Amino acid sequence: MRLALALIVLSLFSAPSEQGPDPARLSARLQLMKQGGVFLETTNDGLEVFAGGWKVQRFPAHIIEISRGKPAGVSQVEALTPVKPVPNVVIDSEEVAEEAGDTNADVSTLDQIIGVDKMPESYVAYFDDGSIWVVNPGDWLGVSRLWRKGKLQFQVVSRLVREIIDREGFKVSFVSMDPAAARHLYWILEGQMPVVQ
Amino acid sequence: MSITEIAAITERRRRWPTLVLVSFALIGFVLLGALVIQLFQTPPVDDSSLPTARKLEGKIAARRARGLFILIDTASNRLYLRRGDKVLMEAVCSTGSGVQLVSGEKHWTFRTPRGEFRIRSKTRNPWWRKPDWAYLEEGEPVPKNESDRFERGVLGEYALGLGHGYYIHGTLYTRLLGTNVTHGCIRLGRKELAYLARNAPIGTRVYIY
Repeated sequence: MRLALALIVLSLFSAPSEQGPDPARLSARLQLMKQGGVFLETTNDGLEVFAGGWKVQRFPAHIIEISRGKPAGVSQVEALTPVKPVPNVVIDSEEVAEEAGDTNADVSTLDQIIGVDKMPESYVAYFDDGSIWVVNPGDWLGVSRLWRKGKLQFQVVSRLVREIIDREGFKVSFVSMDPAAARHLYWILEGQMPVVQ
Repeated sequence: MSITEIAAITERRRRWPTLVLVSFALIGFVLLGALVIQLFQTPPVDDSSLPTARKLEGKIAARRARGLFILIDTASNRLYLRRGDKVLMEAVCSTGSGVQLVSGEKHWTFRTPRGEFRIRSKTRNPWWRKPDWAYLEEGEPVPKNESDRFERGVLGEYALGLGHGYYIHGTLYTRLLGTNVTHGCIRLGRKELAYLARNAPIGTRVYIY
């Protein structure tokens, strides 16, 4: 609870980041365009998906960024820690062979679908440049299980401390968004999409 | 000096240290606030960087994909044929299930790959060469004879190859369009597939996310 209050107080004092024509940000975007592919970019009021240099999708979000000594650049998800575990379906061919008569001729039966609807709405994303996103912090801080909440908070704080010691800078973003958009974002981040932030 | 006046002076003297402490606390709080703002505020963008920014914006605009491209959103299972920011066709599709299949030491994850691809081939009335996993998944033995692997009609009227065995093709299971059920390929309905095959030439960029 104390951590939550501290973070909220810090977030109150931090101004939303200036994202006008920031050359560092534009260079990062250009770099990703040269590499090709799809990438995500944070803006003042949300997240945007770019493909072929065109903005193809936008997720409205309220982002509070607390940063020190970290200029804009390209990063990629290193780890995702959801509040609730994500389902994982593993089929063993030997078991299937035993029940051969009952299996569906198509790929997956409907109960095996791991669609975007089953993705979590609240999670913490750790990036390779040391930055952290806390998505839907309200839900994250309100996790009913105390141990889970404590574990997540401890992970965030220890990571932050490590970043401050190792790299002399840190960036934490509190991303508040619609639950459906948050699930979609989890799907995108899990797919290792690069991010300009 | 009356007793009342003496009492008032004593009372003022008693309040004085409290007032000093409160003042110090207020000053301290304001200073701390200013320090926190200084620490966490992102520095404003320097005006001198504007020409650089404009140059970069020009380069970005010049690098944008020209012509047609296909965009596939694997989360909402939608496929778009676009020209720049104009959507020419939107279709419901099916993409990878994310299911894992284990068979002894072999392992497959049925996932649609993400990133940038190109249409490399276009086949009319394709045959499906069933891979090992298709048999293992159904609990059937893998055929020893190569010719036993081929199946006709299951991939629809066209198959647009993206490389590494991934295709945009048709399906018999149209009720599953809009869901993540495939082995990694992208399935489309008959009409939309025909439109795409007619309008997207070989070499068209495909962006999957």
